[in-house]
Amino acid sequence: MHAKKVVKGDLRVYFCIFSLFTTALCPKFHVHLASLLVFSTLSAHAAGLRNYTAVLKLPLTFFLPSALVLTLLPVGGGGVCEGVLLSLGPLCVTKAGLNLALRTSLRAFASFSVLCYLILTTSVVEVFAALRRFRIPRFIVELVVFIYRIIQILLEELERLERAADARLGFRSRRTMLKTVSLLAFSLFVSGMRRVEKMEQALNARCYAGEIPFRAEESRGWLVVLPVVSLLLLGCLSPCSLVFP
Amino acid sequence: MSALIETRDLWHVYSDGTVSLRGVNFKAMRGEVTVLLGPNGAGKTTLLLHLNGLLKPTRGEVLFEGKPVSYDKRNLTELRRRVGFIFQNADDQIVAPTVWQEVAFGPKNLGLSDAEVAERVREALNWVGLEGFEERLCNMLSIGERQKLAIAGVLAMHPDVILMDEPTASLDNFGLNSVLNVVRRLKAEGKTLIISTHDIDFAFRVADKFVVLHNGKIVHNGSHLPLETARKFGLRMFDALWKR
Repeated sequence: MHAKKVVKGDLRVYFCIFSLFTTALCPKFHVHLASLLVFSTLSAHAAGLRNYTAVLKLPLTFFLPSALVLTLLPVGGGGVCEGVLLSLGPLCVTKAGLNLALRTSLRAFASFSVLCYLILTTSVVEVFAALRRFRIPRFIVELVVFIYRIIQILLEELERLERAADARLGFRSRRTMLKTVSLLAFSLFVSGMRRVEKMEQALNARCYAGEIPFRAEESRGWLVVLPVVSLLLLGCLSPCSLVFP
Repeated sequence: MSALIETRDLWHVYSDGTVSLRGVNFKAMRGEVTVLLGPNGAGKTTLLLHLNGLLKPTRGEVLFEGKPVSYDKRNLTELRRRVGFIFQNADDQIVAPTVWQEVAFGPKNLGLSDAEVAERVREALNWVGLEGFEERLCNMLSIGERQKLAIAGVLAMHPDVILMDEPTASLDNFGLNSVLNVVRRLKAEGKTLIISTHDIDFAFRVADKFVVLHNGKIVHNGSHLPLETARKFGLRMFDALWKR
């Protein structure tokens, strides 16, 4: 990962997991806002604003429709619209519905910004390396590492097969494309099986004994972690709450 | 001088009935570079796979330091610690997602401490010129870098014998020279190398001994390789230069 990391080592994983749980579970608006601001800044610093916004695009496609649905929900029960701001036939936008939509979206965005920071700075392997301290069974860690590698292999094989098919007009029309895709699926399965056999040989050739090595990186970045964690905890524990206008 | 690794009357028949090796008596001396030559399907890779214990003979035996190889787990582990195998296709060898993990894989399996593993990885990556690549994903490397990674992954185990299966296949001249340098440096460090290839040019530049395989049998074995023998058994040669 080429991201700039202000928090290094296992500390980064624990920091993100703690912040994610705090943000998602705490109902306070100011905690969500703080989380969004802090982790958006960290993510933009780590991977660049462009990459951060590119990652944000995907969840937007379901955050926005969800927010729209929440806006139209008759909050208060009974199917009755109270405090109507806008009426659209049988549907109505109420102040309470708008409030719910905005607060839920903010919470979702804030949680996602924490996850984004983790995604942009940490590989799957590093996450599981950090989680080993919580006594995750060894075979699960092993499985995850191998699955990660196998995904890389399958994607490469698929790219090769696609290129070969494309070179001979395999995607020329919709009908041809369907036939080609079914052929490629079969070929990918067969070549995947072949690669698995080779992988087994490669594992045996270097005396695989069931343990995957993980690189130990010193945990650093307490100057960032402690203030952020304190801010979130204080926000959750404080009796007052910023009210959404 | 006795052979470091050898085979006696080695036969191998694959499950589909293909007889790949027919009574092969092969020897590799300590500190020498032995080049296995032969056309496609001659049995070169099959022979190499026996030397690392990845294949068991149908008949005959493999000996390491004069002792027959036994195929229980403990002895195979010891054999594979001493005899490293670099696959023809680096993609077939790479088992870990990141460069550091890939090189650390072998030493970790040998039961070394974390500190020793880290030191071996650092050493191996420096040796092949991949320092700074530790956190890179293996699938993001170029073909040449993957080749270097495959070499580093085996070197980190400090083997005495290194088997290389067609290391120059699909390499350009720069890649070829890089492999040549690797072979020369390993030889200078006292390693025993057994390299399969059908590239005569490369073979002439590195070999102390030439062993030619054809249809599963050794048809030539010596420190010289007559060009007529090479041509007769389908080895790729610098014909363009000959015709001038």
